[in-house]
Amino acid sequence: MGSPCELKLSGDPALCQQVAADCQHEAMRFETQYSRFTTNSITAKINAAAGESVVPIDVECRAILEYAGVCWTLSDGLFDITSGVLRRVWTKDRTQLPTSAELRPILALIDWRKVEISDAGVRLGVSGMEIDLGGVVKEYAADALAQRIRLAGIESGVVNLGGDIFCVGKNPEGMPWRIGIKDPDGSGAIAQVGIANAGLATSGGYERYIDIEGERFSHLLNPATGMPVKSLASVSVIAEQSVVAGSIATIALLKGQAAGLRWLRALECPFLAIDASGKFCTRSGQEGDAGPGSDLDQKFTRLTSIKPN
Amino acid sequence: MGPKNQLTPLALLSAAALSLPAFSASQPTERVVSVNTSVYQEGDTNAAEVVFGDLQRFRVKTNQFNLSAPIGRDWSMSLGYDNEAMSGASPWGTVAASDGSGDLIMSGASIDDSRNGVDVNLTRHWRGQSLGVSVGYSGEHDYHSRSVGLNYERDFFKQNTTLALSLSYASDELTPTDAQLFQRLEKGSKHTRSFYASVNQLLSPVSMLNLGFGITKRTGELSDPYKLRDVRPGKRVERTLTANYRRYFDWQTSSLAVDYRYFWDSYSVGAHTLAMSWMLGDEAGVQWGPMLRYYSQSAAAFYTPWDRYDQLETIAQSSDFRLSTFGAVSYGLKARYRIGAVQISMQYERYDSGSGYALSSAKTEHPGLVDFEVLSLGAEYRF
Repeated sequence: MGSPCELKLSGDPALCQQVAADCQHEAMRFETQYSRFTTNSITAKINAAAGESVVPIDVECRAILEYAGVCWTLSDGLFDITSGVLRRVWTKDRTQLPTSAELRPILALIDWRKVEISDAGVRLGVSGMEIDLGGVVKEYAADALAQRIRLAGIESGVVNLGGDIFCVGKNPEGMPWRIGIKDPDGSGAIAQVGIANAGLATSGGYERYIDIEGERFSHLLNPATGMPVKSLASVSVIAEQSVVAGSIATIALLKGQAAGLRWLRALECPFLAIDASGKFCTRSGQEGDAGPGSDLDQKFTRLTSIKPN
Repeated sequence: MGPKNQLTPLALLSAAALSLPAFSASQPTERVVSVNTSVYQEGDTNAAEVVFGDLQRFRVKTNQFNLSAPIGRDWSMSLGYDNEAMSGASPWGTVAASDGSGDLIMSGASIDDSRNGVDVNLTRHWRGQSLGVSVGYSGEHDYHSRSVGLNYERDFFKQNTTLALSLSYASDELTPTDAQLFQRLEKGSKHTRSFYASVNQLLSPVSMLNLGFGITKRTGELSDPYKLRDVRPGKRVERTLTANYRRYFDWQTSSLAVDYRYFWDSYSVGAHTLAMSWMLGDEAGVQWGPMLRYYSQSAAAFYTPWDRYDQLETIAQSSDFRLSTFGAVSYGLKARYRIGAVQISMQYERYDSGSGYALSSAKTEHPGLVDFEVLSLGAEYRF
């Protein structure tokens, strides 16, 4: 998945080991099936046939593509799984901003509407187009693993796939699982939240960035202009499914600071957004230190630094 | 398949997510139980326009219960029961009055009747489609109705479109009270066949439009057996065209609903309905808002302002106010409050009708036109 993954399971040790192995296997399946890099993946096959033939896909791939389509609609086109081609312009060794002449041919390859989905399969309408399902699949995988854990009879556990988390039930002490939110500026946790039976996704606007002439540009690009978005530094969202939480967070980052915050406020999900200046914005959260045993359920609370004597 | 009446981006995203295979392996086991009680009260008739009979009009108390639940992985069911207790007088007929309009003859003693109804639905779900079957029964001491229905829904995800089709058939039997005493029809039957199709289209992330067409054919005893002189053709074909628009606003997390309906039938009745409502507030807390509705109808071809005894009994005629030219304005308020798994709702509506409200002009206003108020309270529990 390209990031550290962790599984926490509570219950009968033998069952937990078995389920853990099963989950690992399933996570690998997602990786090989949808990765852009492996030649056998369905993504690679679809991209290789761009502008040419229809590639047959299974029910799961179809559902993932249709879900990505709903994200495209709800984000007014900002969330577009065909925008990965911009990587060809925004290489790590860039020292200057790309010109419109460089961007124009690439922007012509970005259009979700040119992804043709039918009962026969999927076809990318223009040669050179590419789809990248990585984001959606990683978040969906967290839900799929959580489902396996639940169906196996384990009532308490956490799936953490590189920041896309699903908490099954409550922790072994009967309290919501306490999850730390990473400080976008450095290491350590800047906030915490308690969740049970819900998904939590955290995305950073500047997790990956490019430095040009001393200014830091986000890796998140606007598919219409090809230019980086001036994003929030970090967005964490809680929803019933990790995939939904993840899409909401990603769309919030793509919309830019002001519009992203309006989007989060309108959605009625608990969220934590940290803007570029470090300011917190949260729904159902409070500032200040939270003592042990305090009710953190779906409330984001800032972790203050160690109090002076 | 999620509820299509919820328009928020979160609801749309969740519905799309639930179509992913990991979730269909074990559908959310949400069951909903809801109860509702309401009181409908018509205003008294004007004494100056009543020749004979009780002035106090209809009062109806309704209680409803509904349970809906998923069954296993691919099925869902719903069960509904409702009970109505009615009392009050209703118009028997109309006679010509000296001022050129009509005067009412109301039924004598207040009727006191109750109706019970039950309906059951079973639906099979597939990815992107569902097919359901319903049966229903409704009965009161002089009227029984049995119905069956079929409904189909299909999602076209890429186009953000949903198609819905439904067919229904109802068979009714009437045995009017005091038939021999008042020389009424002793027994009659009625059959109703209906077809309805609608297309729901998401126009943008925050707006959607639903267009529908319906056709209903009624045959059998369609005349009102409780009226002194009411003769209607034994066949009535009704058509409706509907358009419903929904728009969601970030401001106060509010939504606007605008609904238009055009009705026309083989009795030559034509009617327009335009309704608007606005709801403000968070789904998680209090939601409230006003509603406004306008209705205008043009009379049936055989409508007559007062009963014509000079006509043969085989010639169609009716002085029923519901077939006259009239219009109505109603306004009201709705409020909902959610605490955890429980939602409480309240609704108040006031309806005023008159011939002056109608788009087409009426020579006289029927004295039987009603004004009414409805107050209802409901509660819903999800578990």
